Amino acid sequence: MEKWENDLRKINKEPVPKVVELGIQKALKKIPRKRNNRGIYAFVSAALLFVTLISGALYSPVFASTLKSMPIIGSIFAQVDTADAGLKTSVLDGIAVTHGKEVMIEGKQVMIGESMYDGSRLAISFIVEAKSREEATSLLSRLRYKINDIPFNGWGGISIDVNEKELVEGRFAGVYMVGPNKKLSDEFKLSVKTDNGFSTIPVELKGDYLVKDIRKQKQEDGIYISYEEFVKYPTSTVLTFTEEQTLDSYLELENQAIRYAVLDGEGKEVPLIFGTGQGGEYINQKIQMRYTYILPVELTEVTIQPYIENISNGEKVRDLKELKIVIDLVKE
Amino acid sequence: MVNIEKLVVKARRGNHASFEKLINEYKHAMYLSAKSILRSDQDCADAIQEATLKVFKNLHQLKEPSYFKTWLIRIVMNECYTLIRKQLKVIKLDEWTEPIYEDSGYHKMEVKQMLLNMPSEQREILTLFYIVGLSIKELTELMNIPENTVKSRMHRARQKMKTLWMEQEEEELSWKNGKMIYEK
Repeated sequence: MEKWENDLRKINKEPVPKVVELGIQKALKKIPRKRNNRGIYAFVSAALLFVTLISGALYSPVFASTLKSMPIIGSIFAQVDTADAGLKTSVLDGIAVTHGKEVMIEGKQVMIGESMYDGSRLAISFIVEAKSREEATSLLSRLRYKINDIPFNGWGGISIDVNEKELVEGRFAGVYMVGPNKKLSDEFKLSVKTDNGFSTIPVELKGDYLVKDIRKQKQEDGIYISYEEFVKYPTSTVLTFTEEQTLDSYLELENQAIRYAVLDGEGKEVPLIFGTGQGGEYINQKIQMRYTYILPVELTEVTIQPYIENISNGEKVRDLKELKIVIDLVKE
Repeated sequence: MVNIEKLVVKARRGNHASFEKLINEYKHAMYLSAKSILRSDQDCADAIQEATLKVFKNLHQLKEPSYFKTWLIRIVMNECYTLIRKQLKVIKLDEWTEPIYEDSGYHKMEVKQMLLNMPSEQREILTLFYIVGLSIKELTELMNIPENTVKSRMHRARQKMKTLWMEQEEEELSWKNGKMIYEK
């Protein structure tokens, strides 16, 4: 780090002047202690009464026939074509829990089918009343929920998969998945916002997991990658690694960025269940990013090949060969 | 360790104590951001006072609690610019004629002074990155610009700072050797 950079960092340590502290105190004193709750999650006590009154009409004949038409060996997860293999079999494997709770959301009948939480991700299956797949997807994208009273925005990336074809007339099966960017407890409440307040289902961690250390560091051109570990969960494998880059190296990649190709044992691209990169902080004179990739459970070997991509046209510039790693997910 | 998102949720419901904790958690970042735009601590205090009230009033509009820090800093910076616009209408004559520093000899310029001498866009990005400690992602959110633009601004700003620093070092060396390098 150059001396001027060090000197700039030191400014951070200087205390807040008294005059600014006083200004803040003045503002805090002006703020009323009590205010009307105008938050979007305001509760209406009468909602409980409405739920009681209309619940008799909620279970429709269409839903009843929907449940009857599902294959005996399957589940809603198994019905969703694009769900990964681990999720499809999660009910049979005893990892997912069936709820079958019917609610109304934006005037549409929605069944909260199953929940799956094995530590790698949280998945909920739904059957949604809709005229089209797009309408069902749109409704699920507007889903509002809380995990132990924290609104969903704070929990991580989401993905929504809805089948092209109707399950039965006017009903579509879909999966709503959350890849948490923070640790969830072993048991928690998931509360979905419905037309009649919040509807809660209990979620519990199921299945065992196994942590395997990788602990390999690679370096090329001011870029450092630490491949840390992978964790084998019942329905997926989660790989984590950290990328650090010197500031000079970062700024030299004008209009370029580091990307990662994820390949199976035959060199084909792996369809990631989730892939997240977080960070960008400047720590120990390097810009740090942390990556979490959720891989399909059936994968036995994975190759991570970092490369440089041209941001404007998406074309690969070059492979970063020194940073490549091949990981045996069975033996290691 | 403070759970910011929980505090934001509680503050949105009108919990004064949680709001106070949030502001205290970030008061340092608020001051440093304000100081990148305004020169005097009194002006920073005024802007931060207004910003604090605005934050409380508009907290329900913040959809993503995890973005609280960048959202807060943006409000502070907007208040700073509002203050500048108000002040431009009333400028005292001696403030125009007052030099940044007296050129009566060699003065070692601190890095803070060098920052003040930089164009505002470059000063802001260096302050937010090095002093306030925002990440690249937070900078893109705060400034509402693509990462590539953050990169190029950062690059120019660092080059400028390097140049100012090297000029400073050359001048210091010249003074130590008993020579003046600037001719009046």
